[in-house]
Amino acid sequence: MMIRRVLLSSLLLAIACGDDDGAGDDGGVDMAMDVLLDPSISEMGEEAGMEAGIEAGMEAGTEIGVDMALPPLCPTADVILDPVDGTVDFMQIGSDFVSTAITLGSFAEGTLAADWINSGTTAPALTTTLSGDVVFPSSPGIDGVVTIIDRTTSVVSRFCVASGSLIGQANVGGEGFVGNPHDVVIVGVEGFASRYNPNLTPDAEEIDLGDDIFLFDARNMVPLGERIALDTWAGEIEGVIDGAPGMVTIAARPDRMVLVGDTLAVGLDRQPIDQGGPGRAAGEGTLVLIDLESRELSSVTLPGGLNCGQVVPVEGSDNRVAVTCKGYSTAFFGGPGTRESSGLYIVEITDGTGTVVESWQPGADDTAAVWNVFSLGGTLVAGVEIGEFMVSNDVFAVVDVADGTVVDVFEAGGSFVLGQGIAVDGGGRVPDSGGAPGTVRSFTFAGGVGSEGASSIFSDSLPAAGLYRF
Amino acid sequence: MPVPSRNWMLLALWAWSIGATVVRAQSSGDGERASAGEGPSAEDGSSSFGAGEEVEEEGFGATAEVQSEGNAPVDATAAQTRVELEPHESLADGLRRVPGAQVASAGALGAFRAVRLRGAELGHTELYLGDVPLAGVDQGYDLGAYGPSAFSGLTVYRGGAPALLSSGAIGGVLQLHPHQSGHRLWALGAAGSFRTGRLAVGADVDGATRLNVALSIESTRADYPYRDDGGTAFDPSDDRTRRRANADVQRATGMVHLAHDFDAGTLSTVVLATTRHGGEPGAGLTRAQSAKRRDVRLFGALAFTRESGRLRTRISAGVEHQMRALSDRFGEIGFGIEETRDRFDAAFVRAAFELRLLDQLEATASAGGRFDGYRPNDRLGPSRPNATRLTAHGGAELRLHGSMGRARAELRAGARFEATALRESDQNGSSITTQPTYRAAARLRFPGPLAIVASVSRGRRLPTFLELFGDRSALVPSPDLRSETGRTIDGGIELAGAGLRYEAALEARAFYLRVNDLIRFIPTSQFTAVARNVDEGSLYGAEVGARLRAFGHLLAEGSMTAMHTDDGGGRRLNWRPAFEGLVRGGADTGARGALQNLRLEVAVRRRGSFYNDPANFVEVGGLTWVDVGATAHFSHGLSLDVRLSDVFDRRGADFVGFPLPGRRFMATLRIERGI
Repeated sequence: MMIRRVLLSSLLLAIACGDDDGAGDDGGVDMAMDVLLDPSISEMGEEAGMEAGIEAGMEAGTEIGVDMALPPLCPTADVILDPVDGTVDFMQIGSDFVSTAITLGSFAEGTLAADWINSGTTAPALTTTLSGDVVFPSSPGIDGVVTIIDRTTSVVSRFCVASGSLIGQANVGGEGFVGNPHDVVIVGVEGFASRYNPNLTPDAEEIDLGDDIFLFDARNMVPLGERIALDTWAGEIEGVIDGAPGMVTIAARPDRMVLVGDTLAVGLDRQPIDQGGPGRAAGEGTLVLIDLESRELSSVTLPGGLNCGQVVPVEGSDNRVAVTCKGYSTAFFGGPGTRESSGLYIVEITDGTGTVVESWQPGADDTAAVWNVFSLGGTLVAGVEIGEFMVSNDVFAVVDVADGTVVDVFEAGGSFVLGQGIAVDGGGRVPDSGGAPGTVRSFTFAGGVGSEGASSIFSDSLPAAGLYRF
Repeated sequence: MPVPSRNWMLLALWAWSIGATVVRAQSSGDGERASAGEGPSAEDGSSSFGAGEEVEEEGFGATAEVQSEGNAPVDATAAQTRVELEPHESLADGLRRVPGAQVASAGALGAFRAVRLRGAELGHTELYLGDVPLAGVDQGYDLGAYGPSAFSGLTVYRGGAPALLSSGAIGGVLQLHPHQSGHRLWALGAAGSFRTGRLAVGADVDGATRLNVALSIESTRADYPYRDDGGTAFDPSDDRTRRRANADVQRATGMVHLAHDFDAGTLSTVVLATTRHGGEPGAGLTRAQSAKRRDVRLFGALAFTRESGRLRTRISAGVEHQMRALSDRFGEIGFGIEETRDRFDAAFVRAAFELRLLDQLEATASAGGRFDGYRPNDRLGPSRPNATRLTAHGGAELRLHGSMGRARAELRAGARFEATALRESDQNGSSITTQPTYRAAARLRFPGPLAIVASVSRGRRLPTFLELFGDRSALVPSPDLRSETGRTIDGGIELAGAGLRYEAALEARAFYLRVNDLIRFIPTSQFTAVARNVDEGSLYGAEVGARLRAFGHLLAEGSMTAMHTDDGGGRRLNWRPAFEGLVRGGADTGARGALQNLRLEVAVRRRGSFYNDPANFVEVGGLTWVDVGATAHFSHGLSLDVRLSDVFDRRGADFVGFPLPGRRFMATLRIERGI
């Protein structure tokens, strides 16, 4: 069975390599993959299934839209959520850190499914349906399929929107270990989950060590028994222990990921294994590149940056990613040195090699818009400067990484309230949990000028915490 | 204490909790009970100036307590219920028999356990031993730390408490009573499921010098089964039944209560020592294997009571030391790596005066001060400064009572003022908080079985060290926090009657509680949070307690609480079951040969549904538990109790993620010899 999966993976990767539609947004190839994985097709026989899948994928490639027909991947027997009609543009996470509700919406039609799945969709057992700490993958992935990452339970869930059916759920933690997955990228049958937490238990199995990229079968949603260790970027470095210089052990702490061709770009936070402990240190800003065929690892250094976990695709580019370094202080969270070690980087990845082509670090008077960033295309990156509690408010700004221009667009009414936003038609939408529950603010950016538009509320059951492209 | 982002619900739990054969459940709205005195100040605050004798009749769940004419009641206006603990009962078991009380537990014996009164926060209940507070605001309380054998019973005051206790709690007061009477030696041994065992011995000596000693040790492996869903709510294929691991607890409790009557008054002292250590399993999903917990508490108090003419004086002083250690070297629980050894020290002095001004008018005044010191230590965490709290309080109450025609009326009105100053050792400034509280109550007892009662009160909960100063790590300081406040209005009836073949009592009250400025930890980043006054809520409901003994051998008692809650935005407050009720029934066989009596019992407890989350997405369904038991009394003071709890293995959880034990068996053998 495993061999068969590997063969299928190789075939699909080969197909993907010949396609240049962009990372993670390839309806044709993904459709082919999905068809290959459809159990009903498997019943035809392996060879016939492959052929049928490839053909179906090639045919469907020109037809697939977001509101396409039900992907064959989706089992019709496991319809557990309400089927969603209409063209889904985005997914909204509402969260109060205890509960989560996911709303699906369209910019044209508004709310399509308010609180489509939430913490109470199923009766609680040992856990709730969703915890209060849920994210979506950085890249949308397969059309028509929603992948949900629950960081508390380490569970990755995949649902089909049009049918409301469950593809499956996989726990990417370990035996009694919460891996705290921060992102998932799915390539064919293989799912790659970045496990942020290291497992400090001395007798932990090798597969349960965490601080790695964990592989799972994205169709059957079971672990593949393989991990990609990132030990190279962990270990002891110079830092501060209780205010005095000392050696601090850090973990790689892989955060967000973007697939560029057959290279997986992984942002690392490189922070202490005990983030609340007396030792404070952060490793040099690093973007790790993983060749998914050979599993070879390389890295790109982000000069002057620390805490560089978030990486997002650059709009309209096949081979560029934007990396943000949120900065780090050896004194305390947000303390001295944070701004100086923050910045934005545009990295170009060609043939598995990454190069920093543009970079920016905020000046003393610049808005340090390095949180919850997203690309507006080219060298424009939008992000948030987090306010200081009870002192200053969050500010949303657009940065041109090439020339260092920073344009403030709007200010929130508090700190830590502006969440992850998305780009929309030259502007974007940004959730504001400091306003009325569910508030999503909009902006446009043209000609170097940013202006705020009307706000929307797609679901008011919880504060809006994040928006993600469908 | 580093707090990763996903553990805010855990934090909510942990933050405030850092920290006989004769069963008597006396609704003391009836209030005219007068115990022989207990606790460090001899009379525990529930006894009264001029109180009369207690007339005890053996019964099930009730003691008929008859007011002697001319006796001043304890505080007949207070909503109070007293429960005498049976040898096999835990504090939680006793509390479940009290209307208005809801016990919340995170596991089996020794696990975190607290009581919610009338829907108030768990931290809105204050814990007393006799008439002195057993825990300061910063320690919180955890009923899981106490073995039940040290206590003869408990009293719960809901809403406002008697002025003598000088409590400003929003929810009410849980008062534990040490053994206080008898002339006997006793010992018991118990064994049950999950390798649970208990040994306890005690001695009670009556006379001018009274001595009560109780010592107990308990141990449990607590490896009860639970269903692990693997976090995949939609996929049952990976569900499996596991046994709770690393939940073993060893617990010891010792209590000495000594009192002597001098010509000038009564001098009494009480010493309570507890220790608990064992594994800390964390949430069911994380399954911590190595985390360990240990806490030690030493409490001692000395009291002098003097009655002279119209004046009665009580003066008490005490000290407390508590050490709480948690070792989680691998960050299994979810708070990061910890090796803490926190120490709390406290000293207090209190004085209360009761003066009979007129035959129908009495005044009570109380004043006191308390010092609390907090010395946090985390060998693997960032250093934190020590903190101190100085509290002064004073209050006065007038009690007017007399006859109105054939009815007897009582009116109480009092106010209390409290000022507290907190300081961290490395800070120049300090935080000073002042809080007035009040209570006014009335009771009208008609000839015959009926009395009506009503009260209004205001309470407060002061911010803790942790909430104000943070922890230099995940919790950010918030020096401008206000106290949580709450206003309660209640009213109801009490009925008590007896005939040739029956004896019955009923209490029913309606209550309304509004709480403001509730303190919550609000995340300010993925890794930090700050305490803010952000929440409010209102609750109204009804509580009913009833007991009946009929035909000499049939027994029944029940307690019920129903409430509606609102967070101010139309949502229900989380963790508040809309309904909770217990019905117990039993029958005595009477003496048959060597068997003096055999009692068969069955109890049915129902907890209604509740929301686990403030957003009201996660509704925890209602559950019904059934317990059965039998107690046989033989000659020579020997008794055997066998009990099967949760007969249908319903298990359940008070907090999602922390499974409770299901079906379990316990046998208790007790022997008592008069001396």
